[in-house]
Amino acid sequence: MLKPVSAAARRPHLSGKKFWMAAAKWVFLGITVIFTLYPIIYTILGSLKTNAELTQGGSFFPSQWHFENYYKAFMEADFLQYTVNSIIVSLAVTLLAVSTCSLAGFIMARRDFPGKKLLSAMYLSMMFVSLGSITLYPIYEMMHALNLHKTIIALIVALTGGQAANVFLVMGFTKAIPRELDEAAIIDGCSIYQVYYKIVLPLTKPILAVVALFAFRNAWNDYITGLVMTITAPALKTLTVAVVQLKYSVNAAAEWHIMLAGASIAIIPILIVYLFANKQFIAGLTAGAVKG
Amino acid sequence: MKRKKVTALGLAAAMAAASVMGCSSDNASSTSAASQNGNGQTEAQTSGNESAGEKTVINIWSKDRHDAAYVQEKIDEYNANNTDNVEVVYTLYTDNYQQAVDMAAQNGELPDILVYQNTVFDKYVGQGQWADLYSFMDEDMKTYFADVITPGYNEIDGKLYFIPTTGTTCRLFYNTEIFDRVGIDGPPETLEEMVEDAKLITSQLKGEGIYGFAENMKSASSALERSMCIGLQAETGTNYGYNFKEGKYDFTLWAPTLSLWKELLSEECAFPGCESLDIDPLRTQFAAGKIGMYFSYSHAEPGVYENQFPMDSSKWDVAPIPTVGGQRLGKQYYDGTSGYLINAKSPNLETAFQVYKDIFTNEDYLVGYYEGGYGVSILPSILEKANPSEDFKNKKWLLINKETDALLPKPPHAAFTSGMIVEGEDLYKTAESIYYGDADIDSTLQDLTDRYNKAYEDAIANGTGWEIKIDNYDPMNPTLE
Amino acid sequence: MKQSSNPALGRKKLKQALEAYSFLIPNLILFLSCSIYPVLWALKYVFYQYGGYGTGTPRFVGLENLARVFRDKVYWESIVHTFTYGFGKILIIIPLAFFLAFLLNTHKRGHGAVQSIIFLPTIMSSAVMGLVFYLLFNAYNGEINQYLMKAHIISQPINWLGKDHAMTTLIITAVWGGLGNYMVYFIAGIQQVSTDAIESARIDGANRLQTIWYIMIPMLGPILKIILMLAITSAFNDITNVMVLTEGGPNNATMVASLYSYQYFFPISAAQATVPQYGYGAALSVVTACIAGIVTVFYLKLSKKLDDIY
Repeated sequence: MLKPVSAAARRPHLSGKKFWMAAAKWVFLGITVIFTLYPIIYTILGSLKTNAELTQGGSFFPSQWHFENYYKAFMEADFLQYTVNSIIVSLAVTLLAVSTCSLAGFIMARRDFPGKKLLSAMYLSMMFVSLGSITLYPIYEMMHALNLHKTIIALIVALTGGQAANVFLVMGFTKAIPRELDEAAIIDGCSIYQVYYKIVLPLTKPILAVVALFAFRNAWNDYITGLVMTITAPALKTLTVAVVQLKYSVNAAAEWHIMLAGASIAIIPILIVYLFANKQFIAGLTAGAVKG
Repeated sequence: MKRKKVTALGLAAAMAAASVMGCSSDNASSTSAASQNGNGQTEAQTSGNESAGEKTVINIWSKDRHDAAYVQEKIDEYNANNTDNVEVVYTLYTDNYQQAVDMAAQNGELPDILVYQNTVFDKYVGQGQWADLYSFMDEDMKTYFADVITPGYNEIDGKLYFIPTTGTTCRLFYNTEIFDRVGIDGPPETLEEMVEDAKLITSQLKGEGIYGFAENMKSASSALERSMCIGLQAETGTNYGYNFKEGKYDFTLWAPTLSLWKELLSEECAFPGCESLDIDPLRTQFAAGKIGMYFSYSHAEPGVYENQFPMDSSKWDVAPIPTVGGQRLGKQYYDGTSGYLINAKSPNLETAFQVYKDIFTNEDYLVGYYEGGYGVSILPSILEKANPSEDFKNKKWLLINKETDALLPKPPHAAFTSGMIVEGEDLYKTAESIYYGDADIDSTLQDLTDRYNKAYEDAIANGTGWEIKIDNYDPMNPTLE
Repeated sequence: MKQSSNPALGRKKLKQALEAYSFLIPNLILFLSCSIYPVLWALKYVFYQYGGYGTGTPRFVGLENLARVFRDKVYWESIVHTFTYGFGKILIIIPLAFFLAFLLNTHKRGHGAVQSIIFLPTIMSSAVMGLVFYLLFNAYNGEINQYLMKAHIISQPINWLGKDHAMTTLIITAVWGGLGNYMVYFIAGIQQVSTDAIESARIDGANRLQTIWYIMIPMLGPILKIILMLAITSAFNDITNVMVLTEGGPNNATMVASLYSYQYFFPISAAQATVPQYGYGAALSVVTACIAGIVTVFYLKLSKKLDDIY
């Protein structure tokens, strides 16, 4: 990392102690940055090496850039199909999460209705009670009873889940919007649906963006739900599931380059999303108590 | 969904098939074919005349990747040539076959034909899930396979459920070059000797990254089922700790073996990273000449070193699994492979049987299978006719040997898999706690014995299991019933 | 008048309630089927022995499954591993994240970029990165060992995924994946601390360390509480990277509670044969959830006490 040097060099007037403080700070940050970036760079550069070069190690950059690794992953290991699956699933989950949370969060913030207390209590308790991944089994059984277990719908529903935390998030955000706005609209003759659609929905966009971003991230990165829900429907596997299963493939030991190409295919799209939306990701994390 | 095509697969399978027939002139092509078959599971469908919508579709599920290219080739041929308007779809579930079968069985979605696997067979045979092959077989077929039909094994209560055509057992594989370099004459005959050999190799060649012993210890069950448990059958005359004559478990007999295994897996002997090793990485390292000895199945390795991870046949050899002090009180198990189960609930039962018969039981297929190195035939007529690769001619321990190997009856925990609930860790994980942990050998094995016996008694009491006891059981001459 | 207004009011209320439910229904369907139903399912099967199809109908066993949990040595070891993992992660990640937040909370040149980079791992799939770490930490040809050997720091490969180091390796990867999150929490917290207090402390002659210790940390109290709470609960739920990196092994050295109950439902890896025991698995996860609940309550009590001291 060149940063410590250049930062220091630009300020020759710093006193000795301050200079060393700044240098130490940037060395520390540099080490952290290397620690953070190394596995990612290893993945992407490694995906362009041959298996031999990869397992022998020693070279940072590939001696030759083997872009055909990607071709192999896409065509032979079926990653094209899995990428399409991942895109469909992630977008559907995002849409489902945003729409259902927005509706529920709005009404929880604005209306009293019989059973509201009970519902709030249930939402709240589900945020804290976690039985872990075993709950996938009853969900799978249920999907089977509905004859949906071999469809992508099962995976989408299981991945979207109850969304209790996000409903609370939207509810909290909506509460901060002055009620006078919708009361005025109601006086003007708007129905509750119009109030929601015309007034509150546009104003809750920032928090919905947060919900969307994290729903997309979680769906894209999920492994276990995808693994369990696609056991009897291998054609529906998502990218992460397919990538990890490469570890158990016949030639796993001889195909690290394909594994890394698969891993890159799985991480590069989200990296691009992050490139454009890193501020929103970081802000989103602090905006609500989005689970980390 | 299923129609989603994998054109590349067909291509690669054809390439692999070509390399099999053309004496594997091109390793790369077979590797790539294998790579995609191995990708969890791959659905392959031959392109035939898909337009004919009224074709009868017969689904076949397999778990075997080592013969997938060969089987696919035969199925393609069948699809192209059959006149009954049948389309065979072959699906490979490598990493979760059992689980996929369980879930499919639960949902009534089993395919028409499934490759035989013992737990899958045991679990559902009681429910009438598997068809009785006798009801479809003609007399010729019955006589042809008479040698591989064993009551209590594949024939139960007069019904035949599967016909194994090849067999497998477990052996010691060793690198002869490494043995020569450190001056070891031949394969070890006792486990003590084996530990000494492993120590010698590791101490002398560690600097070059060569170690005496390795096993795929990442999964204790996968590792021990192909090694220690099998050696112990011969050594103790019990099967997975079960004494058929007394009708009781006794794991305390495992103590001497386990203490030697502890040494085998210590730094003095073992390949570093053994604890997290899968079988395939192990094989690459063996092929690269980094490992002196390991245990595995006799049917798989020749094909692996021929096609998957090329290794000169003269550099490795096979020997029986060494036992403590060379003691052999019983025979070790062999299992029939390449058997197929037919789903009794299939809507196209008769067609399914016909497909099975046409593809998997014709002599060309069986000869080609053995010659291609996919499995060791156990059919006398095939053994006579076939001209297998050099490996099978020169390495006699690759074959099933009637003097040391036999079909063994199943211990209770295998006979009623889910009917017997053992509290605490199973025998594999318990063994692991001894060789990788600090568990005391004697008390731990005593505890294991007690837990298995209790689970067995409970199973009988609950009606989820039954008594298994063979009064005149002779481990050297085992009977199944 | 009175007679007619009441039904009208009632009708209005009913209409309003129906309107409200119409908004709720989409989420409610998901919530009831994916959150509530599985919990009820698990609570039922705690009392049954059930191995799935082919093993007969579920058999009522009363409290036997729960009793078995308390006898299950491996389970309690897995709880210990969960705590080792959780505390290991917290002990490294919290101070490190705080320090980074302290260095990066001002709007200086480069700070934003460094923040973005350190946050990057949190958007990556822990399963995919688990696979990458598996390759990196491989004992015989992983790149980490190769670098260390080349630098002559070690002469023999370190068995990163072996029984002695697997937990450490796991914690390293967890720190990698979570550091950015906690850093951002801390930055948000620090920015809430009023600069006035810090300034006045400075004017009173407090040095940097003193300001951190006496002003910043106490003022960060509330947010630190939330952060620690998140760290504790997430430690109980981390399962993916354990599953991909070590599969709980070797010899259960990295078997955490969530994974232990999972394996009674589904096999952890390809190489593992599992006979499902849904009832016992459900019992394990219910007990784990209770333990996590107890830890949380205990923690909340403890942090209240700490509040009183300050």
